[in-house]
Amino acid sequence: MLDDNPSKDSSGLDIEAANELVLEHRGWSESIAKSVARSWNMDWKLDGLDGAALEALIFCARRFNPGLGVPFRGYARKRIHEASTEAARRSRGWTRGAGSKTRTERLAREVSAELFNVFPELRSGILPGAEEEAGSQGTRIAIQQLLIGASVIATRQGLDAAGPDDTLDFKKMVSTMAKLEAVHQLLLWKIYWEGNSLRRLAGEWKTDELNVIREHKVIVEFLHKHFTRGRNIKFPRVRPGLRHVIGNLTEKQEKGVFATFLETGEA
Amino acid sequence: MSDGIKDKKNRVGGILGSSGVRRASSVRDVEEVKKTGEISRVERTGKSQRKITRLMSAAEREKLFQMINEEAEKLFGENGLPKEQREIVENAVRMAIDASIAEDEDV
Repeated sequence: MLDDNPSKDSSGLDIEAANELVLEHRGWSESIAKSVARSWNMDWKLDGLDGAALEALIFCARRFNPGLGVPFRGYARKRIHEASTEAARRSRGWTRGAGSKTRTERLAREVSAELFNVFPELRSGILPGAEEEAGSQGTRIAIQQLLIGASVIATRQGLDAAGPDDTLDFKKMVSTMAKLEAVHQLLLWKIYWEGNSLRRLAGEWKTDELNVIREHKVIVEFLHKHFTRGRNIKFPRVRPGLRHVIGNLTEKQEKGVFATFLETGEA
Repeated sequence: MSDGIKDKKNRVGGILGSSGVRRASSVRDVEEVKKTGEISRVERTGKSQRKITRLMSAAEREKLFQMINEEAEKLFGENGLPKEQREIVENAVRMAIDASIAEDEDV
């Protein structure tokens, strides 16, 4: 995963300075690995999270460029967290379900792992949308977003695993998504079904990442209001930043990927 | 009061013609550039101020979990999402937030 290729750029740190950084921040990187293990009821050493976190720390220390003005921990945290979660998912403890008390806990772990892909700011220790809303209200909105995001992930995972009798449980979410505008359906499909990051999707749609982030937020906020306040909430329109995507939809996508999925079981 | 206003003879007349442009004289001296002084104070900017992004802390973990529970209560139920999904989704969000909070973090 991580190439051991120390930067040859003269603006980076030399080996000695990089090693100093590793020694200074080792305890901190271990605390990140321990947090991941704690939340998933795993052992941070037995399941290999300690080694993964240290490897990521060394990798970041060698590539760190203090001249860019970014604090080291701000630069490295996301990578260390990602290495820890990946190690956990690859471990025997994960696949065997060791430590998980029930099937529900195991499924919850799967959903939570995917939440980091949809909301990568969590890896930096920050709630979604933290820069836009401050205080208790901002925290509550962030949690609402996470709950909806997790619901969509659970819907997809559930549909993948469900038998014919169980699909009704997930139909409510999919039926609602099928009524969204085609671009919104496609956004959700690309993120939650195909596993694209918001950044990658922005690249594909040749638009600023912020446009995709905001559109995703609008959709999630709508879904939250729809399921908490009732069915009279107006479906959101596509914002100007993504209007150009409408013209590039294929015929199939124009119908709405979830609408097609409901009809045929395929997108 | 002067009668000059009414007196047409004393009115400002039109431009008769321009004489040549006078040649620019040579530079006599240039004052030394003065050093800028220290900044005395910085005032608040306008309305659009970037908010400080704050890390979640271990101390607020229980509060966050409580909030998750409250919000899940609103989301799952008769008019909301199926109750059967609640435990999975609520636990997933709790795990994701818990995994994001490092104990040894400078907040």
